[in-house]
Amino acid sequence: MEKSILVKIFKWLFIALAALLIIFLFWKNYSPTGEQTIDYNFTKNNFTAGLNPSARVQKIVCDKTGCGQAVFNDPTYLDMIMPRRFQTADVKLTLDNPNDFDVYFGVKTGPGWQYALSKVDQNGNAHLDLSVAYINKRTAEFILSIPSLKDNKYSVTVKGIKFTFKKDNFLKKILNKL
Amino acid sequence: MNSLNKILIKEILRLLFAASLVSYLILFILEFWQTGFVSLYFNSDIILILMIFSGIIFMII
Repeated sequence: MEKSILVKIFKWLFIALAALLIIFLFWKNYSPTGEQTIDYNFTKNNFTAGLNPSARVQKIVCDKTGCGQAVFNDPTYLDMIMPRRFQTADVKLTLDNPNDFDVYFGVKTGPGWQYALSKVDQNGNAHLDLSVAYINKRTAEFILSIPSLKDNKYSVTVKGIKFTFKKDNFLKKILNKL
Repeated sequence: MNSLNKILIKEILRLLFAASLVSYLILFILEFWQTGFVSLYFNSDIILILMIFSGIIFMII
């Protein structure tokens, strides 16, 4: 193969790779399909630093089955960077809740202590309306409330929180217009 | 390595350096524009390392 052709191939290969990276980043940030999933399983995650305050939770413990964090007081919070504003969130909590305490999950709706709570069902699912969410500097604050933990006697271990954020399917809208 | 191959490798390294430099600058601007735009999904240090190594190898050979 002629050398100049080889150089041209490499040139366009590098340009294509750079363009693909930029497209990938825009795709991830704008979620044109209208859905984005963030799975927090208590390992290192770019979107959240984990449950807080530290006075109400134990340290994250990892074993063969995965990682988890015990909550022994109420409420606890989870700050999460939101790449976009979404309308709803389906939350799936993986809990070790031996006493079957009622669990609520919610989102901050305004400055100060304002939260919209949703009861978590037996399977660990909750549905949140994010159109009312208070998002400050791209960060939304979620709340995990287990009122029965008020007296520090018991604990509930959270092993995973999976968020499926949803908004309008931008791609579908454009395709329908064509 | 004959001189023709050497020129070819140097040319490819030059292209790689240029592509990684431009990409890194674009990523830097995107991250500056919106915090987390890049860093939430991609570790841009990879591009920086690629740029440094391609530059160094280009200078050596």
